[in-house]
Formats: sequence, structure tokens, C-alpha cells
Amino acid sequence: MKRQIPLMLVLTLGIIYFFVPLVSIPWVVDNLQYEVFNKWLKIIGVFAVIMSVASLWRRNAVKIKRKSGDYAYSYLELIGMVLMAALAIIAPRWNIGNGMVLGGIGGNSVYNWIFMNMQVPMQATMFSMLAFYIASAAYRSFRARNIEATLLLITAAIVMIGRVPLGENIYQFMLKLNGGEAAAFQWSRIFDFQGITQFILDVPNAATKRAIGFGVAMGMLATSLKIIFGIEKSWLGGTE
Amino acid sequence: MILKRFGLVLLILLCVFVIPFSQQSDRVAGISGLTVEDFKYDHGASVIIKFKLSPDDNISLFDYDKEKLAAVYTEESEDGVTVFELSPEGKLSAYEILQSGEKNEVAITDENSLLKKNPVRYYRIYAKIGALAEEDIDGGKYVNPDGFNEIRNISIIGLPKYTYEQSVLDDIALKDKFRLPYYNMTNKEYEVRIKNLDDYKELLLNSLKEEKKAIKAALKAGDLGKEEAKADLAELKTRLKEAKKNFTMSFTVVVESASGILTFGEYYEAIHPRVEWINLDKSWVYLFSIAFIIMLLIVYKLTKGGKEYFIRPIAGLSAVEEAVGRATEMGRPVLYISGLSSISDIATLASINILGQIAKKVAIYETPLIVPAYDPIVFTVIREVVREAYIDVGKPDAFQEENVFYLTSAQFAYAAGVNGIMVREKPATVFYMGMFFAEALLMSETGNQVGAIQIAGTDAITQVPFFITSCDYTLIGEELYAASAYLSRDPLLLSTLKAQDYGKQVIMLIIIIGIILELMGVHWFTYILQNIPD
Repeated sequence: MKRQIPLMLVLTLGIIYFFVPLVSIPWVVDNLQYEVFNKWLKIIGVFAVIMSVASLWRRNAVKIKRKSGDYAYSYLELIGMVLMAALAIIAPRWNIGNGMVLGGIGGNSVYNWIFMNMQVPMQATMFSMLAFYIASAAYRSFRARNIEATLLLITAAIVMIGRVPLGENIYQFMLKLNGGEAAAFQWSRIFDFQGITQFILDVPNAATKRAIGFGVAMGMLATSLKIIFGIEKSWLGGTE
Repeated sequence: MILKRFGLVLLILLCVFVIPFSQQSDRVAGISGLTVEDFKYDHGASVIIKFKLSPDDNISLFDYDKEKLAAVYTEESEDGVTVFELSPEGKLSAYEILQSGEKNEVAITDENSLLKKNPVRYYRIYAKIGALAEEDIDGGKYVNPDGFNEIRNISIIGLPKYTYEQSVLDDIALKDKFRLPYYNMTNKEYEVRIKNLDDYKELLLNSLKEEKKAIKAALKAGDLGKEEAKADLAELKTRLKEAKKNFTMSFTVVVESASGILTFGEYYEAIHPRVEWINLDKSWVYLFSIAFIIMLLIVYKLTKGGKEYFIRPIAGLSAVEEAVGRATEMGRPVLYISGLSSISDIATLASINILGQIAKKVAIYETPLIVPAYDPIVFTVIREVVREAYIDVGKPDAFQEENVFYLTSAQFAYAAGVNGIMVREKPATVFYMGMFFAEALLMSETGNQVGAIQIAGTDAITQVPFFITSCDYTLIGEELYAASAYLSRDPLLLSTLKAQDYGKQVIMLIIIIGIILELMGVHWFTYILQNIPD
């Protein structure tokens, strides 16, 4: 019964929702597409948030209790969590000078100040580190170890040159050597990095992306159907 | 124990305060420093936000764009409540409120979200472009050397902006740009999809009612004669009746060529829009989906009857056993990242299915499995899936609940958290399965640096190269969806992979036929395919 009811629900709602985008009947659009789906998801979401906070609390509490490695960070996390919650929920809205308010989540609250001056810069730092990670990953993958890696290296070099002004400058210089656009034999075309880059992006790259896209669409459809028809039950946990 | 109790108290506080609190902030996202009295949608045509302000408040509302500013109406009422009425005709993606010199960014809202409260219902009307006179064509002035018209733009005059989609018209213009000879275009019937007609109708009725009130007021004040008022009211009654029963709209379609306006469509006075019960634009999608479902069910039935299919080996999945074994031998944990998307994403569902299979393998060896979740709903599901997997292999005691936990829903905070876990716990194996964004490389490079064997699987095409670079094995696109079936080795599940392969073969066949026909100079096949709506 524990497994039958969810499976029946998934089957019934799965079939109904499969056809919802097809119809424009006002009642269906009103109730199924907006009301039911959005409201249910929000209601479930609220309970899930409570459980999530509890799990985070539990993990850190266990770490502190066991004094496992680097448990000091757990103190930091718990203090941060309690502090932010207290500032937002419990703290009175006292004016603490400089136009700042102690409680609440408004634009001039301490809560917002901490968010804007700690969380946002830290997230920006993480994001900007991506540039260095890309450089190190690119270095590793561009090493010409075999034919595929060599091809990748050549293609990447062309695309990189084609994407910066240097590529156009090289082409213009070669075009001059070639005798301009009026020349009968345009050997300088092989230095048209911008054109070659665009070709690489528009043809081989787009073809590959679309091929993956076909597979993904098919996979999504198959996975959805497996879940709707109860062929795939892993998401319920267990086998029977 | 004290910590746990404190957590319980915090939870209760969350239940009591945060839930109603979060609902409020959801209604008026981002408005800060102002007391918001009301925020409601007024029959889809406008949004009214009321702010209660003290007389000392120096407040002005402006936008970055003059066009947007024109759509904002301000109204002062007697009790000091300032009402801002925002019309969806302007694109109110963001605007600023200045309060006593301090800028407060307001995070609402775009044109579409204003209309979201009212369901979008589509209607169809047909516009026929008037026939062109010979002199309009001007000896091929508007015709390019191939003898085709270049339609630059199709627009509508006479309908409120929010009742039709410019993108649909743009699609028509794009489609006909090179394909339609000028002589065909002149009598072509264009299909225009109209939405939010109910809002428009309601607005029309309201304005007629207002007009009625105004006539009565004028009569009372003596500005209007009795006979005159009677005639006006009678006319209004007819218009009201017409608007209620036989709702009509008028508009003109304008087609613009490369050289300027080419032609106006006929002026339609009495179009009766038809409700579109079935969204025909999606019919091709459904046709293909249903064909695929039938194929999948046939393969499934054949497998159930004993037929065996060969499933090609997938290197990344064959390595799962080895990766889990490595973690066991090294006495280090396995880290599983289920992606950064919500439960409604199919990639996340596929990831949960894979997690179930991997958790069983991990549970057999009693190797610690760490699963930090990004989304609260996903967290609740994966915790149960992992718990059930441990129970299923007879090792319920080995399940450590604190190892399956919610981390955060902030993208880079999550990446930082996962990186921290990797550096501290030094997992021997890391799985990345699901939907990933810019944080993919941040996590997988760290995994690479700590020396973990890494297996990734995603359908996010832009992140695949990063995973290929930094992971040992990568499941590309569809392989992510195949993984659960592959790992379970269940012949019935594997049969669906075969159906996917057959589906791809059909697509390949269509592409090859298309190429051959195009090379032979036969274009109708490509034309049909290109005209399938998205």
C-alpha cells in the first residue's frame, strides 16, 4: 500500500498533466496549470524547508558532539544560521543609527547588510575563481597527447584567435599581402579566423549540440514514461 | 542534547514566524523600507500597489525607460495612501523607488508576470492581407533578385499590446521572409493568436459602465438634456449588449517589407474570436511523443515475452563498481552530488534513480555515502531513497542520517560547501549526476585536486566539456537517463534504452532522407520539417 498509492497518483496525474499543455480549456488552465501545481509545490516546499533546516542542524550538531575534524566550522555555521534567523524573526526593529534597523529583512536592516556585505561578495569570489579553474582545466585538456586532443588544441586555438581582435588584424594583414579583395586567388582566406570560428560554431558545434539534444529529449521522454507507468520505481526507494 | 533541543525550538519558531512571513514577502518581492498596504492584480490589466506614506516621505517613482514611465500611473488619495497603478502595457522589468534620497531597488516584475494571475487563453483570428495593386509592386522594387519578398516585420494596429504575442508575428515574418513569392503574399491569410481577451472584455465592459455613470451624472447636473441622455443611454445599452453577447474586436495587420510599409491588411470591424480548445501548435510534439510511447511499450512487451536485446556498454557506468570498490579499499567516503535543479527537472529525477542504485552498492560495502542536497524538496526525496537502499540490502544500521543533508540553495555557496567537504573528508569517489550550471567546474576541479575518481553525468550541454576535462568518466546527455536502468541490470528497464535507440534511428533516417531530397532539388520534405511549430 505504501508503494501502491504513490504509483497510482503518479500514473493518474502523469497522464492528466501530459495532456494539460495541449488543451486551452479555461477550467483546466485555471485549476491544473496554475492553482494545483503551484500551490501544492509551495505547500510541500514549506515543509521540506523545515526538514532541510533540521537536517543541517543535526549534521553540525553531531559533528560538534563527536568533535570530528574541523568541527569549529560547524559552530560558525550554526551561529550564522541562528543569528540570521534571529535578526529576521525575533529582533525588534530598533533604530541603531546610520539609518539602520536591527530587526526585519528590509533594505536598511542588519540582516540585509550582512547578506549584501558578506554573502554576496563571498559568492562573487567563488564565481570569479572560475576563471582560474577554466585556465587550469584548459591547460590539461589542450595537451596534445593523441589525435583527438591535438584536433581539440588546433580548434580551440583557432576559436580563441577568432574571438579576439588579433584574429581580424592577422586576416587584414594577410589580405593586404594577397593584394586585397580584388585578387584572383584568395589564399589569405585561410587566415580568416573570424569566419572559420563562426563556421566551427555554426556547423560542427551546432550539429553536435543538436545530436546531444535529440538524445536528451528522447531520454527525458523515456524517463518520464518509465516513472509514469511504474516501470522505474527507484525514486520510491527499495525494489518491492 | 542541548544543541538538538535548541534546534527544535528554532524549528518551531520557523513554523510560527517564517511561513506567514515568507508568504508576505512573496507577494511583494523586494519592496523594502515602505509599508505596503495592498498588492493585487486588477483583472490582469494592471497591478495596483498601495504604499502608505507619511507626509514627510519624499518619494518618487521612476523608471529607466521613458516608455516604461508612461505606463506608470500615480494617484493620491485623501488618507495619505499613495496608489501606484502599473499597467502591463509597459515593460516593468524593474523600477526604483526613491525614498528620502535612498534608492530601493524593487524586484518586481516583468510584463508576463503581471498577467500570470489570469490564465492565458488563446483565441484565433484570421487576418487577410489586401491584394496589391500593380503600382504597389513597383516593377520589382520590393522584390529581391530571387523574386521573393523580404518581409521584415508584421505588426498589428488596433489591439492592446498584451492581447497578442509579437514573437508569433515575428515567427511568421521570419518564415515568409525568403519563401513567399510576392503574388502569394498578397492574399495570404495570416493567423494571429490572441490572448487575455477576457481581461480586455472586462475592461471594455467596465469602461462602458463608467460611461453610463457619467451620462447619469451629467443628466443630474443638468449638463445634458433629457432626450439627449435617453438617446445616449439607449445607444450605450446596445453597445453593452453587444459587448456582452457578441464581443468583437477590430484591428489592422501591417506588413513591412525591406523598403518600408508594403501593404495594410483589410480593416476588420467585427471579428468574433474563437476560443482555441486545443493548442494545435503542440500537435506535432504530441504526435511524435505518442509514436515514441507506442514504440516503447512494444519493446517493453517484447522484452517481457522473453526477447533479449544487446545494450551497448557505457564506460562511465561500467566503472561505478570499480569506483565504489576503490572508496571501500581506501576507507574513504563516496560523495554524491545530485545536481542543482528542482524536483520538477527530469535530470534530477534521473539523478535520484541513479543514487538509489549507487546507494545499494555503497551500502553492501558499508562505505560512508555523503549526499549534500541543494533543493529542500529534493533533499527529502533523496534521504528516503538512500535510507530505503540501505534497508533493501539488509544494512539499515549502516545508514548514517547526518550524511544525507541539505546544504544550501545558493549556487556558489553550495559549490563552496561541496568543495569544503571534498577538502576535509577527502572522498575517494565523487559522482556528479543531474543538472549543473557554472559551479560544475569549481566542484569537479576540486575533486580532481583531492585525487578522487570522478564520474559525471549531465544533460547540460554547456557543462559537458568541463566535466570531460576534469572527470574520469562523463555520461553525456541521454546516458544520464540510461544510467539507472543500466546499473539495475533489469531487462525490462533496459528495454526502454532500446526504444530510445530506435527513436534516434528514426530521426537519423529522416535527416538522411532530407539530405538526399535536398541534393536532388526536392524541397517539400524540408519545407514541411521547417514549418513544424516549436
